[in-house]
Amino acid sequence: MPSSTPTPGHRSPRRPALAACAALLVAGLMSACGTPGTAPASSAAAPAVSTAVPNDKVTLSVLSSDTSETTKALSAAFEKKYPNVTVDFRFTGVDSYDTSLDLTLGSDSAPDLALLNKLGNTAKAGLIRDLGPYVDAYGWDKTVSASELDQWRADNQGKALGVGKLWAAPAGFSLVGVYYNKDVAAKLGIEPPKTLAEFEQDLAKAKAAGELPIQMPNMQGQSSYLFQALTNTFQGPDKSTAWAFGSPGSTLENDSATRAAQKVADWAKQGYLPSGANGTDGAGAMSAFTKGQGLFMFDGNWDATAVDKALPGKAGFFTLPGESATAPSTGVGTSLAYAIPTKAKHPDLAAAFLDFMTTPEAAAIEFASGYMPVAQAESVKAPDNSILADYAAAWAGVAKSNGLVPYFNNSTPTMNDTLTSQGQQLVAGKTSPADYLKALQDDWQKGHK
Amino acid sequence: MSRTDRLTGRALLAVFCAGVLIPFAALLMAALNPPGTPLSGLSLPEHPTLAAFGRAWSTAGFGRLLANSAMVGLGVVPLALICATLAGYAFATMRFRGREVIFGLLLLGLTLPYEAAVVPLYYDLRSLGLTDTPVSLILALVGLYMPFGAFWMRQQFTALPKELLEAASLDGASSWTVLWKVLVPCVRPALTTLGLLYFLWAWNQFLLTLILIQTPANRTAPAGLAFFVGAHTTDVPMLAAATLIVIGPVVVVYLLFQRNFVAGMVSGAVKG
Amino acid sequence: MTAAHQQAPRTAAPAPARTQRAGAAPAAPPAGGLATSHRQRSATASSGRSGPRRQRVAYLYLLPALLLYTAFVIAPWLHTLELSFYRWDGVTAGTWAGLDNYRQVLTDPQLMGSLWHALGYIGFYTVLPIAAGLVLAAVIGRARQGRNFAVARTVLFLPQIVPLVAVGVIWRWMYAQDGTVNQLLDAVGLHSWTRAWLGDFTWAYVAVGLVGSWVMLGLCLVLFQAGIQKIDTSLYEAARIDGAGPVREFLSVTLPGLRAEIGVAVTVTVISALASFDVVYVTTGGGPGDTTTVPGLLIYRLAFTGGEVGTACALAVVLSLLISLVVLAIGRLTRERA
Repeated sequence: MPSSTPTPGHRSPRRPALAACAALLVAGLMSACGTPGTAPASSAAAPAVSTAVPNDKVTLSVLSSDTSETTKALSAAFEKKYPNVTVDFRFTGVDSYDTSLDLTLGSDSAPDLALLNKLGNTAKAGLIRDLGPYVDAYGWDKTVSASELDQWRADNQGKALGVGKLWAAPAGFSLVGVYYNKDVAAKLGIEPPKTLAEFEQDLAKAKAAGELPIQMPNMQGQSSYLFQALTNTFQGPDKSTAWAFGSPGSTLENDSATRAAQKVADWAKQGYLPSGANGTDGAGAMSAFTKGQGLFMFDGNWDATAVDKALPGKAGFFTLPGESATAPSTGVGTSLAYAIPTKAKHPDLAAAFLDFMTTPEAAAIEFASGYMPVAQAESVKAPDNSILADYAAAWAGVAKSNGLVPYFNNSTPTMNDTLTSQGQQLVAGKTSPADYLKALQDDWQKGHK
Repeated sequence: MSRTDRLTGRALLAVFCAGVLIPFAALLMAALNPPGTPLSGLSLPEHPTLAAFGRAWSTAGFGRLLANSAMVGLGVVPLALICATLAGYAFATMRFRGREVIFGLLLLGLTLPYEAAVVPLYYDLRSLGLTDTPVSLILALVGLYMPFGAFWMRQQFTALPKELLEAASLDGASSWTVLWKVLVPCVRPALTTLGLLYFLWAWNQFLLTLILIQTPANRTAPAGLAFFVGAHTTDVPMLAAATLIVIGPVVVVYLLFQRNFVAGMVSGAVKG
Repeated sequence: MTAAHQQAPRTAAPAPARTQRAGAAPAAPPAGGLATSHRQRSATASSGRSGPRRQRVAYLYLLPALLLYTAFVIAPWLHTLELSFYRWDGVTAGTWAGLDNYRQVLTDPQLMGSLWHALGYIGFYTVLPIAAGLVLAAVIGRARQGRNFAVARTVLFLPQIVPLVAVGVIWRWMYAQDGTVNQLLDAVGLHSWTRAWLGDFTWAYVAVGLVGSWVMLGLCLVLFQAGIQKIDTSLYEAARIDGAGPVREFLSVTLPGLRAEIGVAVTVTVISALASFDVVYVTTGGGPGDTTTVPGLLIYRLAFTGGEVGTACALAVVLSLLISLVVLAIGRLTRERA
């Protein structure tokens, strides 16, 4: 059938394609684009810093994905202390936050403070400032423990972590552990387990009684918390920390990590994890848990206040127990950390805010919203029997044994994506523990070479 | 055509319509619940209220987001219409060297995936300090939609009887006068359709706004919605209300002008 | 013909394949009753042959459109091509990589996987809605378009109108563990089928693909219904005299009569399938595992969070080539059959 669309002008059907190619060539010559990499030079020489808070009206913009009320409450308190300061709190959900952060920091509308969920490429790309001058000016190295600051130290390339310049300052510490529903536990006659073996017995008991043993979302790859907690338990915090920080020679292709990955796979197979985990996001899992679906839930303290509100007095928290009752406690955690972008308009004011986060006043706010305070931890107290009391106890245990391990997810810019994809495969039985670990190690290798 | 045929047709049509409407109905029902209500699936709200709309509006600043979207739409439509009209006019009525080359180049733009251009676009605009402004977004969208517009307007002008042109040239009118005084009035319905399509595409565009606009307050409605999803998945009523707020304006525009839309889309428009 | 005229040329497909073909038969008889006589006496056709006078002023008319098009589409695309030969993290100076990025795209299972997924989406974005649209159009047939059809058309077209981000939000909730899809399955006694669809390794891909079908069906149906109205009634009468049943009538009259519309539908939906981004971004983010990744998603991720701009650009170039090839093939196929 002949065409029904008369478009005169093209005498030959081949001409336009050829013509377009020619035109492309011409345009290519005209557009004269040089080699890539002409972006602005990364962080210039350290400017003089000041610890004075200005007296005139000023707005401090804070970019965050913090869903607990911590940052908001700290902002309100800061505004109260300095009435001339307005805090512009810009919130973005964590998924989109991490994918868009580098773009935002590089733009002219970069905030004065930005939450870092991971260092990623930010330091390497010169998007954030070295906080060294402020550490000296405010003496943070004296108020905040060295190991806590170390989590946000890195070299200029952002590859060797744990040493070098300080890129972000903590605003409260997070800890991933196990929540438990006291009602469900009571029904099953379960006490918080003291050893990993007891924990596994509890899982079996719950399963046998028709309860879901572990509530866990995995749409954003949260199974990595489970894997990492088990790995930390099996190989101890030091090796895990070394891997997370990218210390040369570290590897996860070892027996401990293999056992951990195997356990995750086994638990999924045995029905200890929810069958729809891969299709459930964090918020969905939390709402299911608070509705009584699940004896345990692997999650961070950032949901502590929300869980407490939904299950007042009926939820508890502990870190995954060790292989023996006397084994050192370990926990996965890091700080809610804020960096000052290179393009910040009020860096000194931002630093003043960071310093404010180390005061006793801030400590109370941080703790009330579920985070361990940056400093002055001894000044806060939780009501007995509240989830915060459990949380403080868990933190104290982890701190005593120096068992806090930074997130594996933050080890390289792409590790979170890799852990998400691989973790979903592991839980679904689509990959073996060995292949899972190999994929993680490959990503690690690429990020730290 | 037999009676049973017609009945099967009706029934099939009804099934497909239900398939389209059920998700929207579920969305609407969910949005009518008080914010924070735990919900599952499609169910009638027990205590219908518009509170979720209010909450979504204030929490995510959808008023601002809608205004941004409207501004982008209103920036794109006139500019793109003018450019497309001028280009279409030249292609349809004039002879000049390289006509086919240029036209072929434009047609290429109809198939090139935009994902392929956004990466350097971001870096280039950033080095010029032009990211994060609605102006660059508007200009980029106009560029992106130019192939379809130029093609469409060329088609319109080509379809006009040539006597119109001849008569006007005999009167000694300049090409400029002919275009605006004679031709444009004849293709006004087509211009309306094109303008509506442009508005729709500009309103719905996501990837480009995701990359070019960084300040949350400057985002457009769909981008705002995407950012809203990760943050508020538990609060189904609020999320549903936010979604309805974002799709509301386009649905209203669609229902008002649906004849133009259908004509435009059917003629081969790609969903933007 | 005034109404049709005002409604703009319905069959004016902007797909390059079709326009290239068009030149071959400028004065073809309006076999499908689609072309109208006034078009053959169009302004261009005559001015194109009326003499060698070239109008320089044309460039002025083209300038604004070409300026914006070149600046925001062609130049960035060429820059993509250039960047695809570099190793660049978006910040520090890039280094020449030759064909390394392309090698990576063609060997990395994740990147190749995304291209295969995009191709597979053609089944959902193109084949399914076109098949359903044809069946529907055939069954509704040539009945006069009453008010019922007008309402149905409005409804079926709705998914084409709303932002794809909103479509994603809607379906993310529909497919959730406690969502409407499972609720409906429960209601018809298929409880064992219920699952968190978007987290299921086998079904997430299908679930996301069906969202594409949901979006595209209305477009296909409306397109075909409009086309069917224009098929010459005498062809149907002749078929009936020959004793053709409804199936043969469909195959020998309706289907050939809709060839142009099918060509448009295929081109438009295939481009959408290969360039899909919004729905996947909102519903699954590429998971579970990498089962639903699409090139657009990986381009975004590689370029803006992974610091592998070169690889992202190489993937973008491969995607562009793939789309061009597929569109060309579609054009070739429709031409040969014609």
